[in-house]
Amino acid sequence: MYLSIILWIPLISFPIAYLLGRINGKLARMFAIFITLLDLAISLFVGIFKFDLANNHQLQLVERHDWVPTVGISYFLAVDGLGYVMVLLTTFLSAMAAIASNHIEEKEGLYYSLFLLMEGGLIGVFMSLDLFLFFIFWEIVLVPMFFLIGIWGGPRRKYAAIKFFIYTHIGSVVMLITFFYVYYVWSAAAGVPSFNLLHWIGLETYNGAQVLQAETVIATNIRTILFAALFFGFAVKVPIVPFHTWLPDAHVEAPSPISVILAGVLLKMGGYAIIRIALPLFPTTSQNLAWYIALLGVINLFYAGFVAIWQLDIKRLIAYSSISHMGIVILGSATATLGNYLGLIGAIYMMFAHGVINGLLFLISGVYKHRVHSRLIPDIAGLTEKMPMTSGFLVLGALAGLGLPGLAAFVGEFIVILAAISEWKLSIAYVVFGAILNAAMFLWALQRVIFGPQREDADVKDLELPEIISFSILGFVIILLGLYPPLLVDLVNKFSIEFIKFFPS
Amino acid sequence: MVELLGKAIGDSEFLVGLLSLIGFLAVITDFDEKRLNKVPYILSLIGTGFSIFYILFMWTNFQNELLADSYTRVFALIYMVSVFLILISLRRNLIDVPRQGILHGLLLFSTTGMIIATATTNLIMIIVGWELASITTYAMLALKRDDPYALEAATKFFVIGAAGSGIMLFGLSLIFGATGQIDLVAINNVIQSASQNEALMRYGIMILIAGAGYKLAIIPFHVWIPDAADGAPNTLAAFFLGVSKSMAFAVIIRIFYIGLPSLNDFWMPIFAFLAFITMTFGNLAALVQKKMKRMLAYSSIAHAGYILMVLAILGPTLALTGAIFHIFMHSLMKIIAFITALVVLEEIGSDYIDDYAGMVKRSLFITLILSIDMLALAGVPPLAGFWSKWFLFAGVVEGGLWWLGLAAALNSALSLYYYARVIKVMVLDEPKEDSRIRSNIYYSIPILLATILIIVIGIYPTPLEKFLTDAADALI
Repeated sequence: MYLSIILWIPLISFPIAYLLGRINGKLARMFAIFITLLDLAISLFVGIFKFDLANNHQLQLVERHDWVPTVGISYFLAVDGLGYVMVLLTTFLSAMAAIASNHIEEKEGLYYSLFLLMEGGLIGVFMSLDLFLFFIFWEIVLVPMFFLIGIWGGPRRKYAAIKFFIYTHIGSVVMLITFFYVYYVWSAAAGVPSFNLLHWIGLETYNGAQVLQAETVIATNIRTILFAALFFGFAVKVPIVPFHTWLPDAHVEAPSPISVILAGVLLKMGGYAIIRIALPLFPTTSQNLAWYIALLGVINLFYAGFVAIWQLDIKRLIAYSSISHMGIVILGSATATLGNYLGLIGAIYMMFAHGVINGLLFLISGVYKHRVHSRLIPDIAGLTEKMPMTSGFLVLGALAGLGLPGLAAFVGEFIVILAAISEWKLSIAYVVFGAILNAAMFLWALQRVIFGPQREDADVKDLELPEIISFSILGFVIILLGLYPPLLVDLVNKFSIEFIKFFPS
Repeated sequence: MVELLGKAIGDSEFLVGLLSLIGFLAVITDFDEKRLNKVPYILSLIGTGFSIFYILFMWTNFQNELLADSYTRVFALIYMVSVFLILISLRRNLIDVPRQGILHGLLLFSTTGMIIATATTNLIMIIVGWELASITTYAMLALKRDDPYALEAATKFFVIGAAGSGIMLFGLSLIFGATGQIDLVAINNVIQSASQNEALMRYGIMILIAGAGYKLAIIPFHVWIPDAADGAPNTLAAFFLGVSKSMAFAVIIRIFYIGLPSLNDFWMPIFAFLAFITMTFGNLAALVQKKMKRMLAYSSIAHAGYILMVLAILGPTLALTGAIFHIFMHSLMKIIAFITALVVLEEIGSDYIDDYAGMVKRSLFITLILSIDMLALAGVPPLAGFWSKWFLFAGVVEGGLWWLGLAAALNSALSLYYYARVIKVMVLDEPKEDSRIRSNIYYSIPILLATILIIVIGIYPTPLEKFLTDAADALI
């Protein structure tokens, strides 16, 4: 019941936002902020009072109804620690992004209605355990994102929106084909059609007593192909180099609140799906390929880091830092397949922390774009005295992004690197240099933007109230998560310990 | 009382009688040339509306001379729902046709013919119903006497349609000659006892496929379709591409599933090949179309290819359910598309897809309806078009033709390109003019009703699916 409420509040209210926008744009904005805050409040309420923290490995708040029983599709919502963290991240960042959308001044009704539709789709992705339902929400997210970039974006918005759509859509088609293959094989072996993920990964009985792990009914070589296909489908979303080229374009063109959702939540769909679906569905295969998955993560880390250093557009720089951070997530999930639960905790921690940090950074880049009409580092340099608050938040975000101890990303990065070294010893110790590269890129950018010679002539205004509110909350969460990791770790510890039991030891 | 009548004379007879009566009344109440004469219009609406109600809630399953099995029932429902939606918009689209009574009468007679052709296993009755449905359609197209394009379309449609019907009749008569029977069940018995003339039978089947192919819009018998659709008034284009084609499929599926299943080794490969080239070339041709109506016509050909797959196997129930489902959904989706295109055509006077640019700023209603419809045609979940396609494709795979099912799935993915292009043009491109587009009530109501149907069936397909499975079971 509670999950359905969280899911359907934005999905039902999105037409209302449009209708209110017909009367007055401000009205639509107030309504969207109210809805996203309400959803955030409900998800916090559910987390505190209804979600059993001590048993975060169990699926809770389960809702199951038959939908199309002929082909084994059901309306199946449930969350465990991982799902809940993701839902919370979505509702939190959506509320922040809605508050920070104060520069959207045309077609506000349409903007906020698409925004709410996207939020609903994202929440649905993180809740559904029926893979068909999952796919529908996965696709629902694409459509509003396409329009949000394509209508409200920068000068090259059409190109960016279409590129985004084609890349991610190819990813989802490949994913869908894999789902259907597994569906047919599993259903033929079990004798009952089912899209239920728990059936496929052998966590739940069917026909009363049997358990059937999908991997056991698929031949080994086909298994590798299927895993690669599924991984590719998710990797486009993460994104993993070399399927990342849509991301910088989409980020640069998207309005900054949409960049927040794009980096903060959309990329997490990929990371979440790898952890939730790809790894448990093919545990043996993923364990055999663990080293290659880790390698992909490391390539992400280094490649994106090297490219990011040379970016002049600060938003592009942040976008590449996203890719580099997602590399750490992939590395963490790879260690989990070898039975290292710490790596998984680190990966999930990193996903949440990255969402919050990059949310803040993208909003700041939006402030520069709006005030200075440019995001190029030479143009926005030397405004520290004119824009003290903006600069302060930029320093906070950049320090958090480079993994300063005491701030959110450090915890995730540290745990993941620890886990990776404990699995692969010195052969992977050089990931530390990736972290240093990350630090270099942020510090050099900070030095040029903040600490260079000050400009006296510029006529710019500092933050406005809605921005101060959302920035402060984001900054507060960054510091809080950095100083008190158990806040998040306690949500996923049991989950991670149970999760590694999928993989043969 | 109505139920008693149905019990006394049979369900299909009741529908046929009712529709012909209303059609006759529509013709004789057309007292004068006054264009505001609403009597035929209202009579036809009441007649079709009541028929839908009868099919859904008062069906007695009593059959007399015509069949009243659930296969007939489902198809009668498909025809009546589609005709009802088209009828609403006729009041505006064809208001300049002088004889309104004749127009409505012809439409109802055509529907009568469709029900007769569907509700029988007798070859003579099939031909009678088929011809009644076709000839009335030619006449309807020709009613727009002052529009040269409509006349051209009517002529093309008439010449090719008449030739097609003739060829089909010839094929059926060869089958009759080979077996000596005119009832499909009896024909099947003769074939099973292996006492037919084998060579004659095969010629008959091939000629039957060629003749019916014109109506089914399958390649290589398709060339007239884009021209006819382009020239015809949109409502009538929706009628012959949506409803008439449903009838042709109902009849052909019945002939091959009831009459000729024992010869499936012969005709299944033919249909597999035809289905493959029809969907592939239909989609490829649709990719490059610049005019909306031509694009829809080619998409209709591609969809005919999907549906034809059900004849490439001697189906599992799932495939036949999917085929009937898709016939229904295709008819609804084509009605939405053509009537929406009609609104745009009337308002901006252009049918080119590029002129749909910036529609989102000019009319959100049209943009939404057309976007939903395009996504449904492409088979995007959770809209109705997705489920019908899935049942059909999965049924074909289950029937053993995995390569054809895969080809259909790939084709379907390809088709997303040209459907999505319409949405892209409407939403992202800058409008050429800023004037608002207002849809009038005669067009808004049918497209809204059909869109709601597509969404509701998409969200909860189970009840309809059960209904359709019954129909499929009746044939297998």
